Amino acid sequence: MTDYPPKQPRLDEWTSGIAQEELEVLSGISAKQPYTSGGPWVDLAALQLLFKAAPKGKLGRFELSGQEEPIDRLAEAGLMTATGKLTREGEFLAGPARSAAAGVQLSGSLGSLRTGLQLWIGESGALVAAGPSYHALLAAARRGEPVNSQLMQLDFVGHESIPTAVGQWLGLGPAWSIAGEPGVLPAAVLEARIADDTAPAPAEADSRFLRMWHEPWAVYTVAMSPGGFRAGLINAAASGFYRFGKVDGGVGLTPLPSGQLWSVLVNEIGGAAAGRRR
Amino acid sequence: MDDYPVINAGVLRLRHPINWQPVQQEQVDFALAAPEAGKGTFRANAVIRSEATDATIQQLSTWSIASAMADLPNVYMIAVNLWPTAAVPARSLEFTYEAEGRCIYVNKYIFAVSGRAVELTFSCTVLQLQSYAQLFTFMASSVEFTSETAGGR
Repeated sequence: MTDYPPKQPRLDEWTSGIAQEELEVLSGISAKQPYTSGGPWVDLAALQLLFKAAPKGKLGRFELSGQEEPIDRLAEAGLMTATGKLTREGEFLAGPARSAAAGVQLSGSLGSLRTGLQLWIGESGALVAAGPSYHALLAAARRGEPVNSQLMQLDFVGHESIPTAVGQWLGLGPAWSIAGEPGVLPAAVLEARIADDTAPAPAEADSRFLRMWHEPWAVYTVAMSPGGFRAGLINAAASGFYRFGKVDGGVGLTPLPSGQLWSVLVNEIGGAAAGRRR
Repeated sequence: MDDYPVINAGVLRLRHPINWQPVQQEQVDFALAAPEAGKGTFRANAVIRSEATDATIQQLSTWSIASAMADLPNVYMIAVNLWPTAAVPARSLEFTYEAEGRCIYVNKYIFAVSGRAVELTFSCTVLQLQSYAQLFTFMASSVEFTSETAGGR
């Protein structure tokens, strides 16, 4: 606890004004901890073939026919031999798929860019199939480049590390969470904003709402099983996360402070995994 | 509250589960840990550190984030929150890090108490968090400063 920097850190002037107290800038932290993986990239056909091979460690004779392309892709990734047998790495990654009865599924978009994340939670840990993460989408959007949403990066994650992996993939990090008005808006207004970031805000929007409205949005839907947890989430960059969902009179749009979203990930994924163990 | 007695931990007092025991740790003011629960089971714990400094809560928070990210392996910073329950300027940090094959969750409370920086740091594994989250919040809420004066920053 020594060597404190002598200078006062940069303050978040806008949020400090709203909160009526001096608040340090938090918005740069998330970008320093993007989702990273060294795992192989595969497409859906290759992933499906990996699942077919998972129970016996190899493909059956009839499963081999007509699958040259995905077998080649799995072989290039080092997961399968040309004869359809899982390699050691393939066995390791496919392990959770054998016993998985719990799953997490996310689909997301940032502007026209699409992505997804899927986890199969088994006894040993989780198989993760990750499309471009939040920070990868953001970087591509800034460069005006597309992302390949057909490819997924496979990885194995231990049970304890699942919420961290999902949080990093979503771009969850420290943010000052500020509630604005309106908290409920017509579904068509929200849908228009999701489709087009220049869509007009509701006429009654206050300055807090407008700040969030004008941030870049990554929009996610989350589904977990068992348990049936479902949620709509918006990562509104420096404004933090928002949760959206149907309510009386339209769609509710409420701030979801980072610690609360973390608790949701821990409790719901923990609950889904516990359901698997029952 | 008999199951949650108050303990005097140097610069602060706080409540803790009756079966948590003080443990010896170097370079800390005070440390408490959950009972041993078998080989390989992480003992959830609370560690208190303090130091004389004129740093503001904004400096303490920023420094604490930066030092965690620099010093701990595979740190993932989750959240920084105000902690208005405290009578002094305070923050609550949440992060994870990975060490020895474990993913450890940390909830660190930082207080600027009239010329002192005080840290109260709770740790458990991510899988233990569902069992400990409410306890950590309760223990942090029970904090009273023993040498507290009116002049926090």
